[in-house]
Amino acid sequence: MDVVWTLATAVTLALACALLGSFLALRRTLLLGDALSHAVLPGVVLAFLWSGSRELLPMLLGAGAAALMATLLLELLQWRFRVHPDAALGAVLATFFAAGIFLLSRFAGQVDLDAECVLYGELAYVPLELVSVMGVEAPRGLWTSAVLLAGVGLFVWLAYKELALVSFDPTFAASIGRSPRRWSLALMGLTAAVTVVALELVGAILVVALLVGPAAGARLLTRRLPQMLLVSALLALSSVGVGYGLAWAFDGALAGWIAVVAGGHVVVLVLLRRLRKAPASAQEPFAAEQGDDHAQQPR
Amino acid sequence: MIAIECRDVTVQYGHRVALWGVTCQLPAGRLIAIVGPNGAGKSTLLRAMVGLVRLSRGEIRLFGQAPEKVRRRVSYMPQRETVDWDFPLTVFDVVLMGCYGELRLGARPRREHYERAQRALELVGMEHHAQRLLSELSGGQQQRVFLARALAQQAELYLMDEPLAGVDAATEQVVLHVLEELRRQGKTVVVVHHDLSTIAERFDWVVLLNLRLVACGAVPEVLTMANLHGAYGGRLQMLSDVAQVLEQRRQRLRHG
Repeated sequence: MDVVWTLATAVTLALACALLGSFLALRRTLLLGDALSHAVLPGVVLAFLWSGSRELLPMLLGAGAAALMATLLLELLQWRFRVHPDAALGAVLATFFAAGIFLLSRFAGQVDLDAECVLYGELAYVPLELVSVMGVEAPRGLWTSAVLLAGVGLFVWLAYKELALVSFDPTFAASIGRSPRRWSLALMGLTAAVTVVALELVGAILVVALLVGPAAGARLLTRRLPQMLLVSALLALSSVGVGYGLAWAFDGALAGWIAVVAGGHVVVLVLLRRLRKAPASAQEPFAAEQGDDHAQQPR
Repeated sequence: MIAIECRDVTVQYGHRVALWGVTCQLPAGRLIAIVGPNGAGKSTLLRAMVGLVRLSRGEIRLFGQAPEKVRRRVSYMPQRETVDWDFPLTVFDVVLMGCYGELRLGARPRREHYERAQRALELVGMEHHAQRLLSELSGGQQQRVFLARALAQQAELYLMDEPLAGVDAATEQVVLHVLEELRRQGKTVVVVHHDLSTIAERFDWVVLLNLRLVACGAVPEVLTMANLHGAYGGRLQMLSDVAQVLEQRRQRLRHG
């Protein structure tokens, strides 16, 4: 039964990450997701120290506050002080994350939150803490990631039009009264929420693999947005499944293997695509030909 | 009737002034061109009309109201370079976006919207490419997709940013035909455009811009040597071409 709980939790989390990651990938803001997922750490630790428990709400508030601060700092650095986006991202990511690590190591002895767990997570501990909600008993980690998946799913279902619109053509979106800024904030907020939930399951570092891997793989395999979302979900499932198999066969941390498989998908898909198509001299014509129905024979 | 009224419109990006004290009135039901050299603020003026840039001074009224109040009556077509054409959508998906302004959160497009998108595609001659992917399109086809999306909005006022820039001859014909058709239906169309001879030939009204307003009015009155020199300085080689086209048009008017 423990295995089932662990896998169910991992699958739920991976699905939420894949859905969200797909939109981040299309908006070319995966790196921002990466930065945010690291930047929430000090907020989470402070919230934990303050509330003294692992209740979701204080942790989310702390993470949200840290994410908001990071976002504001990014804007300030970029627009006010004219720092290049990559430098600004790198600086904010590293500083916030380091602050989180410092807080963790400084106060780790006093509280039940250790650095190892926050960084790498521990899926195997999931079944240890069962919580009963409306008479149904399941691990707390599963409940939280289920709520998260429901939230992300509902968001994507309701706002599919708007997300596609602001991601593809923000100027046009603004001209019909759909604020690209607001929707991008919503996506960032959800990314922060995903990170918090993922923190104790797969850790702050590995959650990035779940955000990036399935989404990037699906982008390679599909040509339309609905299919992309579906395939990213399938890749998320396979990441967890194959990751579990590898962890069982070779031993080692389950979360680590899942992340390796999630990232490995992309590498394998890129290689497969290279093998299948004729060697292309340039990147762009290759990409264009990819979509051409008449380009079955290699040139 | 006045469609657009600009009063002392001034826009700054940081310390750089993009538009300076532009005051003009544009009539409804006309084909209007915004012209001027590079960096003259043409696109900025268009974006200001849709409410996409904040004015540091002045105001803009569309049909006597603030731009935010009349979004449903206005269709804006950005330059096609502003988007990523590798995005995993089909031609039809994008044209359908022209109807999104009327659809609330969570609402899916209905049959009427699909039909509207289909008709818009037919108007630009792309109906056989509805299910093609954006990444498979040529530059001219991309432009037609944007045009179709604008048509699907069924607006009264169309604001188009360089719909004729870098397109093939066939697409140019399609775009010009659509512009004529919109005028025939009594719509107001404002286009940022470069080619002075097409303007002299096809357009009714011109806004000549170079950070400040140089001139605004009916084509034959505005496209004069003095005005063009004012906007472009002395470095315009096509001035004589324009003069020729205008002369022909005057003669046509006199004889026809």
